Amino acid sequence: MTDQRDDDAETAKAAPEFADRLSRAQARQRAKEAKPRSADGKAMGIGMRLSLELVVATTIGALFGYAFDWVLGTGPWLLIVGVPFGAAAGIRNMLRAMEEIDGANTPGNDEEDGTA
Amino acid sequence: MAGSPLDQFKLSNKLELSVAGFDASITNSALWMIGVVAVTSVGLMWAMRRADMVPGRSQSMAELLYEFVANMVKDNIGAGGRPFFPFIFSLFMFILIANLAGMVPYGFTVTSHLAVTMTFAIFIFLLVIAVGFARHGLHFFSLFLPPGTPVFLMPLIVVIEVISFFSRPVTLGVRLFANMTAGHILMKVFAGFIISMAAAGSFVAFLSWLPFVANVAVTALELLVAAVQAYVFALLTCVYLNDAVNLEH
Repeated sequence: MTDQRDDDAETAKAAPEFADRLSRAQARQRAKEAKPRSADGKAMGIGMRLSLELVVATTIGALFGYAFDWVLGTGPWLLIVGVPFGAAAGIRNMLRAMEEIDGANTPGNDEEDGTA
Repeated sequence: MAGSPLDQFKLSNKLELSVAGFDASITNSALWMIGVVAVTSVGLMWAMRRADMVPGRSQSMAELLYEFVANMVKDNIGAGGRPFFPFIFSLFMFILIANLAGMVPYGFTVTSHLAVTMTFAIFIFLLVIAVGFARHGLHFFSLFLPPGTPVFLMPLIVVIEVISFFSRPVTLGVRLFANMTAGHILMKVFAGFIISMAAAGSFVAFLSWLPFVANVAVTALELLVAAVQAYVFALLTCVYLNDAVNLEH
């Protein structure tokens, strides 16, 4: 390690513009590492997950309504009631999923979530 | 070789088998599942063949996987989650290795079939209900009524919570299936572009490196998705089991 340092120092002395280039390259590398490449993929994943929650819950609500209609013979009415209930459940699931994602991104608020 | 991008998901019987009148043939999917279980168990046993105090490379990999899942169970379920650790570890390892096996050329992605992912999801759903009733009896129904609900909202909230509860296994199964299927179709479509653009000749052939570059990027993304989806599946299993184990109200 110390050899490496000495080498760097010597090179810097020998070629002053090299140290300059090195520090600029390091700054560029640091800037690249600050924003991970997977950030876009992650955002897409969150979007997919939230939209899926909404679609599935609405479908389940509609299916429940349809099934009860079929059993009770109550025409289309329970289907009509089931869809908004399903959509409400979907929004509730989305909010819950968002809470989970937020909780995972900010460590240290586990206790808060536990008692809520 | 060209074929449709959906050909990769076709099932074919490798061994005709009939048990008590039911078709129990070994398909390519079943073969890959057996392979995944074999690779996972043999791989982990090989990694731990000599449990050293100071772990080697393979041993630290196995221990990292163990600790990763152990921490997930501890953070999400707490002390009551210990009995479920073997189940969640097996589940995580199976899905992870199955997803990665699908990335091997000529491989078959077991988790790209809704029948497989929904079987897992429905099993987990039934497990949550069984554990909930075993631990809390009829009090488990209070899951459908968040504390502090105004009396006049109760009938609405209960219906919404029930629908929300029943949508869990569907989202769990569909998410894994959709991610794996979509990614593999995308890869196959880009691969098809490379061939057909190169075959088109003239100026178009000159540009056939574009879908190739895209496919390299998609392959990297798919490796990420394979790992993330295994993690999400195991994590949500923990979250759902937590509701059953630690009923909070």
